[in-house]
Amino acid sequence: MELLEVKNLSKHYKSFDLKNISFALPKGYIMGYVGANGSGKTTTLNLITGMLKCTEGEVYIDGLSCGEDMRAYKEKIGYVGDESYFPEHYKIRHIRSVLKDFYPTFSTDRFNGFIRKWKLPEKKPVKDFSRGMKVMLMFASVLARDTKLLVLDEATNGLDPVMRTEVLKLLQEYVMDGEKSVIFSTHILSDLENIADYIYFIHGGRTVLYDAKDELIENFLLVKGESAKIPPALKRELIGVEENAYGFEAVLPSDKAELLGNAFLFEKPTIDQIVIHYIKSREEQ
Amino acid sequence: MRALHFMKIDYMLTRKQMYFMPVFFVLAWVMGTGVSEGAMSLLVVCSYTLFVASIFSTAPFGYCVGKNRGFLLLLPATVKERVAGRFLYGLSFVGLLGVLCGILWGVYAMLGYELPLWTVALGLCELAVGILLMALEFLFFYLFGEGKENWQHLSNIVRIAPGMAMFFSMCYFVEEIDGIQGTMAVSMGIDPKVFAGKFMQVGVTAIVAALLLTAVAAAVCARVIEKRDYA
Repeated sequence: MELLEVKNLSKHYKSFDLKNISFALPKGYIMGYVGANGSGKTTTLNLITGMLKCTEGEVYIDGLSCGEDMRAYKEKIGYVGDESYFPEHYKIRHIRSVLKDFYPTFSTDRFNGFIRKWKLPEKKPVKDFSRGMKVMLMFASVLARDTKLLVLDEATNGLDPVMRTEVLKLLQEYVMDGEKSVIFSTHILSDLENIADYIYFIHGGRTVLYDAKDELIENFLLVKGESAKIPPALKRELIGVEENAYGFEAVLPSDKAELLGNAFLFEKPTIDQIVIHYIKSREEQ
Repeated sequence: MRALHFMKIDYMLTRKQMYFMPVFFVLAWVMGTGVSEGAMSLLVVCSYTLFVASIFSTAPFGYCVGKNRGFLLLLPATVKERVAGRFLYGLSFVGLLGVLCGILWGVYAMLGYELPLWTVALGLCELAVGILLMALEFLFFYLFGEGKENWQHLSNIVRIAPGMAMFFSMCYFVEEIDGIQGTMAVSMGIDPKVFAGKFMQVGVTAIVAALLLTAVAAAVCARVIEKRDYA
């Protein structure tokens, strides 16, 4: 059963186009939404949350679109951004009061529990919080109510390793009951390596790769060797060839492995390596 | 109901400025009594108070710029409810200061000051202008500047200029008005008491008209914002 369905999502700007983004995220899974700066990650996530209006396409969360019932649609979403979206002069009591007013499933006890657990200062305005505190406050505000989909827009950037580990653990606990899902954009691809089930890779507003993470890793090889030895047939298939003093490094679709012969080293790539070589190849084009 | 919750959000955003309102009100009274006395001074108090109201009622727009807007946009509510909440905030803010003026009026009456009916009517007209100014400012902010961070100077002019014009006009004309209304009643051949009654009708009509125009302005804003991104 799909929790999030994105169908042919497009957004037109003067200087940028997001074109035909389509994917489905089943219940109980985590999707990593990756790409370089300006590739359209935040635009896609803002379209999903309903903050932006799409030029074309549709988004369904648990079978419901924003146009059908905006309130119910937004109640299903928990959003954590790269920066705090709370009014800076608000204190925790103000945020608690607003959330209580707007979300029928908001639990004050659960919220207070997170505030105590993460030692967030009740008396200070949000503007005096550290970056980590602001992120955890956003998490407290979304985890204290019943949501179906967590949308994270580079939420772990700038967090220290302890806090990042805590956030990743939270995400895994969130999807544990098999009823909820997470879509997660980040630059820290090692995070995805640990927790993502699906990877969606976007570049220049267009889909580059979309698959289950394990499949994706199986589908590519990281190839290294001497540049001079690359035969033309192999050169055409290599993706994002990066030359250095010792030779070259590139990724190759696994089904082209027979082109390698014995002259090159190859191994399983990480998500990071696949993405970096793909970005390089796109930029060269 | 959600509109009321949005109104509450705005009051929480601007809670600090609320502490200063009694100070502004006392200042208004000092200025009023400095310029004139009795009922005429109350008209100056009202115009200054509504001048202050027209400035401070737009404060939530200043707090909801850039990333801070996300909080409001993510809340499960329609654009209409959000815009209605903001207008309810503005209306209740102006209304609250209007009530303070009314209380002062009552205190003056209890102290035995002579308060002709036509001055009360003029006070109502001032309140209507105050409401209208608020609605026009909100219209301007929603149509041209919602969420923009770099238009401080223009927004300050829009917030201050209309209310200031109302206040200084009242200070300038306050002594003339008494004579003008008497002359008008005589020239129209109407008994001054009947004339004051008619004036009262104008005052009430002005309030109703201002409220209706505020509702229209809110509807226009909601319609425009619904079509925008980050709505």
